[in-house]
Amino acid sequence: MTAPLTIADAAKALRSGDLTAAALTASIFERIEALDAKLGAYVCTLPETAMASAEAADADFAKGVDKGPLQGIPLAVKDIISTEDAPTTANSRVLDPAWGGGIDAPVVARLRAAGAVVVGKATTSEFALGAPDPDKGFPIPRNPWALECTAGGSSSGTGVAVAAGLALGGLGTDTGGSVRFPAAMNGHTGLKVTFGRVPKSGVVPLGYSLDSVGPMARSAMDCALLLSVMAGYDASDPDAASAPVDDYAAALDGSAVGVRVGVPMPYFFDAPGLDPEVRDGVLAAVDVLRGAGAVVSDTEIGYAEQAKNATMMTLSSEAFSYHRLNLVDRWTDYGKFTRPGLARGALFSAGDFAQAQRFRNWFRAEVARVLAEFDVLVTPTWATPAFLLSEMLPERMILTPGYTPQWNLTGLPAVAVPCGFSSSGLPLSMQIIGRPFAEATVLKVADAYQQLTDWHLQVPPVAALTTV
Amino acid sequence: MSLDQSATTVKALLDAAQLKVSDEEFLKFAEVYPIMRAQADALYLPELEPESPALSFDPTVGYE
Repeated sequence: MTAPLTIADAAKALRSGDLTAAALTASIFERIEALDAKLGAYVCTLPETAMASAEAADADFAKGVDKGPLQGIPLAVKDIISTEDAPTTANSRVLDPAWGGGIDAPVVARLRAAGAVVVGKATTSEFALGAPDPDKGFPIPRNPWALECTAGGSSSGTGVAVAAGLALGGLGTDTGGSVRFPAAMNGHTGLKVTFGRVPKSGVVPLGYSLDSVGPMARSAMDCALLLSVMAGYDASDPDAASAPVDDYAAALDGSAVGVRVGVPMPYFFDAPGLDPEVRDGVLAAVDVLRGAGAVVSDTEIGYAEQAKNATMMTLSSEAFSYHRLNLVDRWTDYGKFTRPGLARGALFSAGDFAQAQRFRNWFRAEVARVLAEFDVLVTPTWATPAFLLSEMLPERMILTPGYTPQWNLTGLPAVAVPCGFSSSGLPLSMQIIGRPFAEATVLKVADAYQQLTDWHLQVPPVAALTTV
Repeated sequence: MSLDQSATTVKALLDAAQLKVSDEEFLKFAEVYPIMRAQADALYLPELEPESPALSFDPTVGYE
């Protein structure tokens, strides 16, 4: 059979007997062998433990044990998340690879308990910040739609793996956009969850008050299947929320009828630097939702640009506090595109940080006021399609419009959804934002869109599908 | 803010943090700093007067 594109399809095939977890996992490793030297999705792969997990999944199926839709599904784990079977490097020469103590982070333990197969540790921008530095010896993740272009960051490897079929899904982390940026660049779905929805213990911190762990996969349904396992309280994370976990997959009924969609036009659709093809692609996607019965209205969110800047100020300050001692002693051990971003935290005052947190409370109220009128907001995910790797510079986030950081500042769920291609053949992406813990709603809207379109199922030519 | 003014401020801040950057990196910081400073200054809005910062601290942690 043709290799399944989605977790949902693979889960069906595993249960119908058309496919075994061992065959599926072996086919993933064949693809990795064939493609990863040029794509750079993985820091390390784990064929022995993965095949053992796959065979255990098959044995469970044979015994009638079904742990749910992730049983036997090959996944990638971003290499800032601790796992028991591989070192955690954060793609850095600075971090002790023993970081995490050889223990699965709670989110990884949950996936394994659900029968998932961890294929390997996926490349990340160093410490989830910056851009790949070819001098440091880690793989350079490349966009499968155009190898000279960025795969986004920082969860680049998971994004590339999903887009190129080197995993059916995986884990990313998102502090200012690091799940959604690679999802947008590589043309798949990626969910930034509500702050606290998924435990982040066992994850190398970047911005303590902004960090989140999110699912990355082809479809909204696949993200729902992953999130249903990932979400929930864990005492090891002081920020973990005890809010009830929804049955996210069950919420996806394919309908957008009656959903109130707000489209914040100022800044999100008219900022200098927004690519017209992105703007037009997202507005066309909004029209699809309107045609599907959503109630669409323009709206306005004040101080959106300041919110982006407050996020980056918060991120820089919190990251600097974590890294300062190493920055002093080991400046050049950090990548040349990472250290400036981390050191920026030294250029703000303590008063600036406190003021950013005052702004944060104010902006949270501003967004809540707008979301009282809507179920979701829709914006572009990123201002441009993928750009050249050589243009992925540390100051880019300061100088260009940004549409992802606002939702880290407010802690809201936001999903990146493929919505077309540019004239040069690069993916376009819209972002759907919801209220706190309304992951089911944002995924429902994304799924309704994906029932009517197939952008999320497009495969880059370099990664043409094989048979299992 | 002129580049010279920016360079003076950036040097003081990086020195205070004991960060030893290359000349090329220093120049980049000096070029970008006025933008960063303006972005920080733009958050000092009059409408934020009643707001507390989004910080929290629980003095009971560790006593259970």
